[in-house]
Amino acid sequence: MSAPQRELLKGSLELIVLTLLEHEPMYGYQMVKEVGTRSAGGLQIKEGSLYPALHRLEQTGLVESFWQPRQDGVNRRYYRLTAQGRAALPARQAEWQSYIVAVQGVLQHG
Amino acid sequence: MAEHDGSPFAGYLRQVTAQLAHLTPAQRTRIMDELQAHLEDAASEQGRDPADPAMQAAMIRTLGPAHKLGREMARAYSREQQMSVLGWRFWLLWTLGSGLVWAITSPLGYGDGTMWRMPMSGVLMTLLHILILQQHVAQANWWRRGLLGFCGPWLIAMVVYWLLPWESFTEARAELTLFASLAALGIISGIGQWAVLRPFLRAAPVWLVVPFVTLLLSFMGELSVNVRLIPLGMMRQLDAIGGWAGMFVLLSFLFGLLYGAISGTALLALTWRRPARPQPA
Repeated sequence: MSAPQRELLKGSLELIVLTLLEHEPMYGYQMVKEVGTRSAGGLQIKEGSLYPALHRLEQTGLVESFWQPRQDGVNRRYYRLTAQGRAALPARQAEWQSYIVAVQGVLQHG
Repeated sequence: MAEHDGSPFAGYLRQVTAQLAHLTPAQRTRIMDELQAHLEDAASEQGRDPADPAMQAAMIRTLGPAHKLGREMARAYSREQQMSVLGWRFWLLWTLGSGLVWAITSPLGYGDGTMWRMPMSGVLMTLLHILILQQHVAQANWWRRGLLGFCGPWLIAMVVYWLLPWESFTEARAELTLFASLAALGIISGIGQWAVLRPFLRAAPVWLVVPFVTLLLSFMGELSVNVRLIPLGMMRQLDAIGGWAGMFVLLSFLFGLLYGAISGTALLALTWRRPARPQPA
């Protein structure tokens, strides 16, 4: 991924995380894999960015976490949306859509 | 949770958490365990051993420089928490220092061997407040809660014990000034510690303040009527002692009241703290 793409991803990381958690709880490594799958390899989340984003979202109350044991009995940290996060997600997605339309407008004029 | 040994990844985790001094030990442990679980998930999917140094090195490269990850993690936690933890630690040091000054100046001021029981009470209450603070900068456990559950009623009982024999308080003795600060501290400490133990009180801070202020005012009012604990009366008592001893008595009284006031303010402030979000099991 190029440096500009990394910067764009950094700016949309929280929205991506909230969207991933919309339908089911996930753990960190699962989110990394899921983003790669859904974007057909176009986006690669760096774990060094993902976990700070998850903790930021948790501190702001949009997600909550819990430990759940794996099949081998070792605990794994899952994240899921809170009611507050679920309520905030549509607005954030709408903001992103507006931003995309605005940037497209500028690019088309150019 | 996975144990953290001397492996490269464990060393990396220690470097990350070195940036997180303002977090509680429980929060730092959670971050370490979470990153360790991430390593194990990646190794499991790739069919590799998480203890393999090459696997750990690859994961460290993926996570990025330790200081950068630690800094980003630190930013994820609010400045309020950073200041709260630092503030509590500063207050803990101040409480310990002022309590020790109080404990030392009392016998120096009165020169009476029997007064050593007062500093012993003061030092014990200082330690109790340290335990209360430790509960808020570290995860509470059953023995801390049990000790706090004992200390609250104990301090209240001690205050009641000093208050009951009113006839002895009519004697014009200088230790009455120390009794006043000790009693005020006991009232503040006892109610404050019960506030720590009673989560529902955090949702109703006004309920806590009203009886506390009423009790303190009634105590100070009645004591002043009986022994004239007013600035003039106190100065007369200090004149009766005189010299350096009188100065130590004054210092003891001031530190006792200051200690009680700061302790009470800090403990009451706990009732205004936003309760921690409950962690799902």
